[in-house]
Amino acid sequence: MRTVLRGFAALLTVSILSGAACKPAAPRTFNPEGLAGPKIDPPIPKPDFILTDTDGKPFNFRKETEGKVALLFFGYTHCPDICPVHLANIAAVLKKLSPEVNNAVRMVFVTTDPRRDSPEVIRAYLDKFDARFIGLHGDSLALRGAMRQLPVGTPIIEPGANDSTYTIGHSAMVLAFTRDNLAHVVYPFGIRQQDWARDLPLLTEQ
Amino acid sequence: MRRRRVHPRSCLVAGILLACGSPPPPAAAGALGELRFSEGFAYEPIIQASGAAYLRIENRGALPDTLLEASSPAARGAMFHGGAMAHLMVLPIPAGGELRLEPGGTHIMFEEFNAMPQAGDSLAVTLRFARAGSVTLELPIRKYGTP
Repeated sequence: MRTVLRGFAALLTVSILSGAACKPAAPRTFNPEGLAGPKIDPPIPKPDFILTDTDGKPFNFRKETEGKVALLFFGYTHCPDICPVHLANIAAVLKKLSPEVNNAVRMVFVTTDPRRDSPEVIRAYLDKFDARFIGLHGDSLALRGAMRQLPVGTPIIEPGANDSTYTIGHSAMVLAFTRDNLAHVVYPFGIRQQDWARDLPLLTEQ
Repeated sequence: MRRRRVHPRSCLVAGILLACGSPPPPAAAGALGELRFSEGFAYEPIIQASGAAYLRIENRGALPDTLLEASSPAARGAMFHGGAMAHLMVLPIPAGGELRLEPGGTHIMFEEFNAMPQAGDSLAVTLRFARAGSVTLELPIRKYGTP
């Protein structure tokens, strides 16, 4: 019982620290005016996780994206439909936006397929879109630890023709965390380049 | 964006899907029996192991049909997937209705390309239906991220 209570207290502390629970009157107010991405209320707190980047170094998501607009997407390199469309759209739009906006945005791709997506595989894949995109990898325990902090479900393995051709059901959303460490808007599949082009500069101004 | 001259009629030829190198984005159309195909295209794959193709199939007949199988000489395998990558064995096309394979929804997923399809080329895709038989369509290949 004591352990449970201590666990609960720790959870509560984490919630308060992360602003998850009770900070209705946050000093910085987010202005959703003009944004194409659907607003999410209450906003999603930035998750706290450490995974491995494509250089093999630990990547602390909260620390590394502090002060930036962090676009977070869970996908996998064998995904032919939703993942490359999102990544290609974001890459195309960033190329057209100012260096200031580019500097203020971090695109973070987390593989939901750690078995096939080694750091090298992820790097080669992301380089096809934008060499600045950050790719993260972790064992399934670490991955689930990151995903359960977010409304992105857990990956569903769908068997393929043989053992190596399985596919993975996953969330189609890109989460956009602003500098207040909250995601007030999400980007579901179907979001267009013109929507990103309008929203990214607005998000960096928040 | 470069535009080529297009003759819309050249897009609809019985039994064969022609790539109308058209106002962007290029898409293919065709017909087989009571089935009409349109908005057909494939994406240039990012990796050799997987790629996707899409099209709209309209059934103008009085009887339902079923898409049983897709294949391409360019890939070792193909399967049907729902929006969240759920594996679907066959795809029904109701009488007087349609089946839409489109990005973010149900699609044909190719596995293990023999040669990497390139944007600007086309991908030969054979579709086998329970009632209408088989048809081979040439789906124009687009790059991801092209509007």
